[in-house]
Amino acid sequence: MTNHWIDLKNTDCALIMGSNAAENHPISFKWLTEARDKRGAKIINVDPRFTRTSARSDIYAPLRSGTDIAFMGGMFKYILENKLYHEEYVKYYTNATFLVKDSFDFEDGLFSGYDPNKRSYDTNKWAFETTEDGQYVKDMTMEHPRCVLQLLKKHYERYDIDTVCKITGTPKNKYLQVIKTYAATGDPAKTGTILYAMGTTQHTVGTENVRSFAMLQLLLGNIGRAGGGVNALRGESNVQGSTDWALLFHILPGYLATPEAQKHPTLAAYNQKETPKTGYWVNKPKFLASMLKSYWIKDDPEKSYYYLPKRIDGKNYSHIAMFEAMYNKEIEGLIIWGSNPIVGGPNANKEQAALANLKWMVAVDLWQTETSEFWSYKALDRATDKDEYKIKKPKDIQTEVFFLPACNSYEKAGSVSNSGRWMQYRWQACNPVGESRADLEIAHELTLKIKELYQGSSKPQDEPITHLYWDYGHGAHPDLDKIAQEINGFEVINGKPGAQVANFTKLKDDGTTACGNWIYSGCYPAVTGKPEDYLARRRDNRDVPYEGTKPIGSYLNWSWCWPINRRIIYNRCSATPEGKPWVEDLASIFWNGEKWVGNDIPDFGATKAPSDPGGTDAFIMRPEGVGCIYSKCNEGPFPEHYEPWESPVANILNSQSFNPVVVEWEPDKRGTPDKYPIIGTTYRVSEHWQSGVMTRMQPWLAELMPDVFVEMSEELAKEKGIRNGDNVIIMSTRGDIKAVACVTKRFKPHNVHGKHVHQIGVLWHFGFNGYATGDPANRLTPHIGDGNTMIPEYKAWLCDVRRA
Amino acid sequence: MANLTNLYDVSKCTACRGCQVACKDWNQLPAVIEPFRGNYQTHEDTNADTYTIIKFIEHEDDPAEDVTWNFIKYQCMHCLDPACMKVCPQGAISQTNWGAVIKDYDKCIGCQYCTYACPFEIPKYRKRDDIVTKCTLCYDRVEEGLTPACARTCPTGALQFGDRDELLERAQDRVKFLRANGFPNATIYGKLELGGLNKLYVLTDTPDKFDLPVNPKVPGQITFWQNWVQPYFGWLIPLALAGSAVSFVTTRILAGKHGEHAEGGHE
Amino acid sequence: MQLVPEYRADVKRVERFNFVARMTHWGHTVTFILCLLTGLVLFLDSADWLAVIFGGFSGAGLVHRIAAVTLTIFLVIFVIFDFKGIISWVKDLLRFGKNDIIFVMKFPFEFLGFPVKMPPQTRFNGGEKGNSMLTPTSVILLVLSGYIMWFPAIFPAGLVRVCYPIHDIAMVLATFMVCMHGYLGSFHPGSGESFWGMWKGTVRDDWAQHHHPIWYEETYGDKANEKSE
Repeated sequence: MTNHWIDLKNTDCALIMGSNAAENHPISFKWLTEARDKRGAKIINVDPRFTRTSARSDIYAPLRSGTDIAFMGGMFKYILENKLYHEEYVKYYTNATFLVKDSFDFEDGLFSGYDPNKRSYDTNKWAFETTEDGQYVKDMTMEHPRCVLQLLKKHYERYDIDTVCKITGTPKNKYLQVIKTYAATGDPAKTGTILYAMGTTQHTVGTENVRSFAMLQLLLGNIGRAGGGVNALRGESNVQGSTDWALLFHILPGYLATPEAQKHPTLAAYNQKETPKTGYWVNKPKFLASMLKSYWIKDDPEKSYYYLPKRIDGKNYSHIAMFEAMYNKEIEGLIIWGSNPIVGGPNANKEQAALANLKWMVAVDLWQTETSEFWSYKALDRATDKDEYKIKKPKDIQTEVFFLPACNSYEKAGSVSNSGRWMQYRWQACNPVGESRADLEIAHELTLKIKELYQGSSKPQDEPITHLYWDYGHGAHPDLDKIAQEINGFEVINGKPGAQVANFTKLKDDGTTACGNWIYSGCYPAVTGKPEDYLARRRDNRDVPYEGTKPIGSYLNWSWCWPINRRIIYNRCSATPEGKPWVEDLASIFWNGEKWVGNDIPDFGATKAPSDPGGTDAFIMRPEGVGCIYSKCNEGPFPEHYEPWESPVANILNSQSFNPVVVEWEPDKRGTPDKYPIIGTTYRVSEHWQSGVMTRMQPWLAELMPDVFVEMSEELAKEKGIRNGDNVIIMSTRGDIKAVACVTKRFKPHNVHGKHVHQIGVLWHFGFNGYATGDPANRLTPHIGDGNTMIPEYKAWLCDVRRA
Repeated sequence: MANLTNLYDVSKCTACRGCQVACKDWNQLPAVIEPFRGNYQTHEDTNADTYTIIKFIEHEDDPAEDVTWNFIKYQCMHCLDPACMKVCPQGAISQTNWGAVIKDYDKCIGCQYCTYACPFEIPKYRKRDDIVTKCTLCYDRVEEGLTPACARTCPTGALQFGDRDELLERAQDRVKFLRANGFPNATIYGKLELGGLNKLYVLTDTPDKFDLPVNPKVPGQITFWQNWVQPYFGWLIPLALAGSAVSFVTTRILAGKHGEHAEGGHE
Repeated sequence: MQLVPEYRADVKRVERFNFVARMTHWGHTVTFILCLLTGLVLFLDSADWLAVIFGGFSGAGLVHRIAAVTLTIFLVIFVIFDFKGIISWVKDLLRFGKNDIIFVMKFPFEFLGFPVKMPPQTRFNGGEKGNSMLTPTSVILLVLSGYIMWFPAIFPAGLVRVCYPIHDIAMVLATFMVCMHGYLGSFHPGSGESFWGMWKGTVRDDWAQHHHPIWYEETYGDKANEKSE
């Protein structure tokens, strides 16, 4: 989230798209309800099906799964043509005024610079026009045909209401209602927020979907302001934290790119290639050097950079890629920690088959997950005989499986980072059950054991382990405060920790500071011996406003938030270019003549006046200092509608059948509408959580949602002779599953290109263990991912359904 | 003491069903796992181990408009004048001075009279203990100064707990707000029904759209039984016994007067 | 004081009730009283002490159910093994006429012991005819409503609810009749001889002639002899 949960109460309009906020983030509706009651805010829900969120929304508009960009494109066109955008904001805080080089072009769904063999673009073709001394060329009137705003207008010319509705299947009146209601937040006195989740991201065009939200929010002047923002609702209590901490293969902690072997042979090469010339990222070398120092305190960063593992250049290590490699017997061993891919992974049949190719596997979880028992007979149960991936029988599986019981969050202490980036400390409530251990303790003991095995080695290749700095107290229970102190960072004197640094602005690139993760620097700024030294432990629930303003729900002394306790990022945008709040009642930060003050920590030079050079460069992390309406995603500078990999209809906007930059792993498994005419999608319900490991083992929750069910329209049920509550078989090219039919008025066939297209939705929480069991819906989903992040396409694929 | 009650505002409920789990947690009730039958509701009705449920009701009055999906929390209404309490032969049901209708399970003998007296068909028989159970309005929490488990867990503020009069005012304001904001049929439920319920509802539509009885009544059979049969009719039995006793005496006295009965009886 | 008239084996006796009728009668007596005692536990607010006799409320409930089932079994036995008797009983009931009405009107005097002259009666006198109609009807209602309340899940709620007052009303009526019947059939000096009719199966010939002349005439008198000839 650019903003945070409480801030939802400040909004005038909430667009919930690609999220089922009411069901999966119930607390969001505490604040949205307050916004509706106190501010008269409108809640809009755009979703393929009518959910519990839709039931609590003012406007509901259906759309066909996977057509978000078309939907947004029509909004851009309407907003631009009717001049509903926030003009001053767009002019000063975005790159709408920038001129683009004439090498930029767009034709039939492809931007200039496309290489069909590599399935990628030469992004240099899309560069901005610069002067000889490197300054960007702008047209402040935004009239120039090659300025971003005009290019945007031109790009979305084709997205008229009729065309969009033909693609998305949205009724025209509903679509117009959504556009008009949300576009009203372009008024400088109003703000609108977008709430999204996996319905947006889990597509072959997931990144571009999110991009389109960011563009809409920039056009309407909603970023950086109270009640605005692009807000990713996180599906796990600590998924924000795990992303900040390098959950993904392409980043190191704090969103530093992972080094590649050829491209970044030395630290100097890395710094030179990865550090932009302008913007706050010019400090990147300090962050990386400090991180390296926190790992190997006695070594110079130049040397310890060699200790870091490097990626093979250009190689994909994402979830799908790893399981494809396992399937092809390229990987020997796997530590699977709090993950259950044969329920939660895409194409679960293939992933189950892949696990059987391992020599060994270590599973760490609260319960014996389906994945940890992939070798059992239970794992072989199938609704039909279909066996596309030749899953091995128990007697043929040679994998040695170890299971380490982990304890749950109430049985241990530590911090989690919520969607609003708040780092909140949790105290231990009770002791772990049996032999279960905290994840941290498992990692700690594993590391100590490995270090012990390498003790005394003087081989240079063992240095990453022998030199590793691991000083978290004695015994099996690491000292959480010592870890947090290292995360915050400290000065390094003679290879030993010195005083704490105040925050990341004090970090240096010469090896004199260490910091575990620069974005968390500032969470433990001093050691005085009080528990509250660790700011994540703060629990002051008073919302004290800045003198002369009204409180906006910042609660600055409750826990701690990265970066440096800033509750709304890019908050320079909350003030006019001259430094006054856009809306007096929702003053975030403003210029008092001497410095930036207000109800939040300024995301800007604290004393940089609006009239100073760069005084309106609100997006400090960007080299250009402005928000990107035009950017360099792998697919191109502007999102373009492409049909999902498996789609029942052809693309009517261009002749590209699907996203031109995605990797196609299994071309032979692409379902076609003649055999599989129904769109399938997967989702969660309030009552269960993720792959159900924690909830299906709880009788009270199993009771609430006891079986895997598939929701479908009355029309489809009639066509297929299915009654409510019948058992049905759902089929895709990857596998078949059994589910209970939930025939409902809340599903309607989409009217696409003048014909009825059916869509069904399946819960994916289920597996063969626990009180509530059922087939994993992911046996149906394909191995295809997004063009940038490789996030799997769980939300739009083809299937068919029949009575069991 | 003023009545303490729950105000449940359907317009704020997202049917997360946290209240259902919180209720089971506090009352330590076992799960009743039934197969999924095509409705999120799972249980068609409350049962002896499930004191509260959220009902999910779909309506589609006009195909051109959106479907409406109504959620409503259903549990004991804690009637101000509870029929269950009147019929209980054991006096196991009582009313606290703040309006909770509660059961003493030590006194309950499982006769199930209350289950049929209830206009909402709420009390349910629990076979393994031979008792009838229902929502207690968490009197064991409230009397210790806590709010009921369901209201405490509600994330959206749909369930509030407090003074009935105060909540009634809040409900009236809310209904006004809703009527002006797209719900012309919004109404309060529980203010007047059955002479008042100690559970208040703000509904976005008429009660029938929420599966609530529009004009709930204690069933006529039960009123007849309770008000007439039970108190008066039984007197016939002592009357018969008394008559026999009188006859026993008088026949023998009169027999003395009129002489011995002939062997074949008198005539 | 003499409670029941002495049993006289030395005088001529005629058969009044056959074995099946007597067995089911006493079977019903025992089961009905058990049902009554256990049922009163719930009917009377002040009858908790009764439950103690049966080992508490669940014990009373169990006895009530066992007795009710046994009572039903006796009903069935009666219907199956003495069908003829039922037919003749019903036929006798259908003969309800002027004599019976006079009997019922004069009955209170008879009841209290005043000497009254009654018109001749058939097998069952007017009072007995009334009892014969009310008590079985009440018992059948008790049985039906009882089973409905026992298994409420398979019946509509409205029907189950009706059964509560019906069970009570039928119980009160039946108990009222049973009390009167029990008293009249044993302790009332005038009709006490009928106790032996139900206990041993026979009554004194002269008593039968006196109390039920029409029946006597039809069964044991000239008319019967004519028939048998």
